Amino acid sequence: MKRHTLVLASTVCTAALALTASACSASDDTVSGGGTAASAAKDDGPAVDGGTLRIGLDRPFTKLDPADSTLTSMPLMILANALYDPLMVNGDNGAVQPYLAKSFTPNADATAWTLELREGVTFSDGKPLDAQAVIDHVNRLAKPEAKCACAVDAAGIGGMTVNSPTSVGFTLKSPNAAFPGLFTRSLGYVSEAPAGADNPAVGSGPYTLESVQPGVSATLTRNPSYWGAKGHADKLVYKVLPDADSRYQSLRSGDADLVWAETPSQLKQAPADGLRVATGPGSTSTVVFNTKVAPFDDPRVRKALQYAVDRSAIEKVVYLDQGKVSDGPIGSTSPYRAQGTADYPAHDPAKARALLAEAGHSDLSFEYLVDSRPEGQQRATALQQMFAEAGVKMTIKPLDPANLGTAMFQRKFQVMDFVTSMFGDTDTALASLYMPDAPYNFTGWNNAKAGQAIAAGRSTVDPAQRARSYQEAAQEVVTDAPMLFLTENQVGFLASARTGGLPDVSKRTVVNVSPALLWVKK
Amino acid sequence: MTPTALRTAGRTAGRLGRAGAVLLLVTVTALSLPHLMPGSPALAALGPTATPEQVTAYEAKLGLDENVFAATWRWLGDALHGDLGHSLSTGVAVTTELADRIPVTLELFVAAQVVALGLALPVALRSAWRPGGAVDRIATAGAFVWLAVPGFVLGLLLIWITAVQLRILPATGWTPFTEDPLENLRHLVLPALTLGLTEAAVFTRTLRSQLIDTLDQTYISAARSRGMGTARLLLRRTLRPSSLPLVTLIGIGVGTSLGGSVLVESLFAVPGVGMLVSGAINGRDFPVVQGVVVVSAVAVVAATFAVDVLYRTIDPRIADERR
Repeated sequence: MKRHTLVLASTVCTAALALTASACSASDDTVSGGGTAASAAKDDGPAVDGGTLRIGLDRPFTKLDPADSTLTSMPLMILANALYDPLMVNGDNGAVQPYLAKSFTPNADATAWTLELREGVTFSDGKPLDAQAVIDHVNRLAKPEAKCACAVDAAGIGGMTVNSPTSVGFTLKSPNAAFPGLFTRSLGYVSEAPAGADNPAVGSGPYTLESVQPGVSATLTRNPSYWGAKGHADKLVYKVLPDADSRYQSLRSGDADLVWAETPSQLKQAPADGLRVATGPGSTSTVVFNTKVAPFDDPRVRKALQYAVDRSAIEKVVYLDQGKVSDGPIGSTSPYRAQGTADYPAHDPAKARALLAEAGHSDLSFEYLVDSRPEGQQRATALQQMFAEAGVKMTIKPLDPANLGTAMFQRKFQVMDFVTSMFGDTDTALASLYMPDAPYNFTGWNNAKAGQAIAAGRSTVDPAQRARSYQEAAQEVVTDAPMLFLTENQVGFLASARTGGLPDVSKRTVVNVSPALLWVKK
Repeated sequence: MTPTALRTAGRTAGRLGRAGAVLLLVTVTALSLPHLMPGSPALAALGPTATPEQVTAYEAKLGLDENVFAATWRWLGDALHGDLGHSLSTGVAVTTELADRIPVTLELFVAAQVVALGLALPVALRSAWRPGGAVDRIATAGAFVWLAVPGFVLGLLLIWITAVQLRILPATGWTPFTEDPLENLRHLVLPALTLGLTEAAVFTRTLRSQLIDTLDQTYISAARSRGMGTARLLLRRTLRPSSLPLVTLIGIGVGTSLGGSVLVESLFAVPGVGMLVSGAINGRDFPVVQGVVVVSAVAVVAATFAVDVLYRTIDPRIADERR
């Protein structure tokens, strides 16, 4: 470990210890390694039917309706997948594949798409999940009263037609070669509208709802009329366990069989505690600049800070060597990466100082907004020290998630921490974050060349051409630096030794597991 | 009506007036939250993909289309009819949410007080009886250490010992009393210990000081000289007049527990008011936050009244002094 990394490690640990009892406590002799995925289902022996699988969620759910985008966020997909079947899913390396759909095919210029459905699929109330049901679902979520974040995606659909009971035709307002990717989340979790405000939407998934206390717990039982392979467990009990440390201890104590985990020290320690790990590179840590305010409207300033960051040190110190260094918006496992990677600048504090001097900001100081949770604080502490080496004074301002989101959405910040799963799907990430009028363009960055490249990529159905366009856009992102890329992080599930069927998700950029695959050993 | 009764009625009316003013101020402040937020709270809650229609509908739900005083007036009118609005995230009535959560938090509060008083009373009495003795020195050092340990660290330690190592108690979760009283008790133990042990340290320090002061009083010396037994002297003559600050602390705790046990409830996944308000704050669910704030304020005011009444019962001299 380099000397400055050691110093950084001690600084970060000191900061972290003030925040959490478990930070930096993982022993170094435990299993390491990115993608320490499931030692896997093959070691589990024959599947066992029956029993109750108890799952600890890291965040509260409100409505059990795909219209609530929280339900289809990565940590809650294990709940969404029990009640609903997605039309499409992200497989290994983020590739979009059919699930409930049989196929999703474009015309020559990606302005019209045809969705073919499986035959004989029904909702849990017995009604058919057919082409009309898909159209009704999309129309319901597109309405303002549904309050679905997916409405912006649905707005790109010009029209929908029933070609046959199992075929839907979509006409788009503009070409979109990545259109099926929109059906991996809310739009794809086909549901019937809830019968009243207090009722959940009706899905076609392997389980149905027995009881629920919103934000607290939900109990599901097997759907007797499920179209596919039946779930192994008779019953699923979900509990919201918001504290990461007590969630981990619940797993160790046997109160839970499976929990969502993102804390690096826990992921590293878990095998030594007799727990199973199923993680994938589902999250990317970045730094976001508000390019609409000085001095971050000057690319030289952003570039200087890019040179000041030692990503390897952050990966070692904050993520305990379990992830990877990130080098741009095209993730390390993305199918578009085959065309080559963006040329990300190496750590060089001297160059950082020189660029700041050239830009007239030798005494740069700024406020850094960050999530108040331990990992965020550790990242911020590490960055603070790196920027200080380049003569930059960074003040850390921790915020709760709600205020952090407000600052980001309303672009009321100078520089802020941003950890996201969006880069798991390159198409969506590029279009949502870097197009000038994109809803998630938090940076306010407006780069014509990148915009044209992204638009060109989205309008071609030739994967090679799309990859070239995306690579061009990614290079612009890295060169102009509206964001800094830090690390690709492991996220996923920890399970007790009695949990069987845990799949290998080590190549999944979207860690999406169906609870129907899991069983409880007797 | 006698002059004394008139004075009592006047004081009660004055107190009620002050309590009403406090509640009104808290209500206006709580209802101002969305108005006071920088930028649009609707955009903050709905995100950048919100359509103008969604923003307009959301702002109307929050009462942002009217001024804060009009919104307060309307809210108060609805509240008097038992309507605190509906959760923006779940659509459930706030009164229903509170009715589900308040019993859980109150149960936790009562259990924590039992733990705190069960530990503090004997330790404080023994410490005060022999100040500087072995028990007092250990209790004093222990209380300071205990007070320095953050609640979440204590909670995690208890989980590690009892749930992970000994496997005698559940680490997290909750079972309603009506569903399974025994399981309810098992789930109650760790959060109640976490809250109660910290409070026990505060109670012990407070009560010990008061007891020592009381034991210095001449009437205690007189009772001792008459040969009154230690137990009777401590429990009947000393504890009662020394317990006024303790009653105050417990009274304040009733109100603050409604919103103040966020950390412990989140740590142990106890579905009480703390966990409700924590989720509501993160989800910008203003009606729920407002409901919790106002109900907590009502609880604080009610607890203050109760403490006042208890003061007079515990120490009639207080009532006499005011006559």
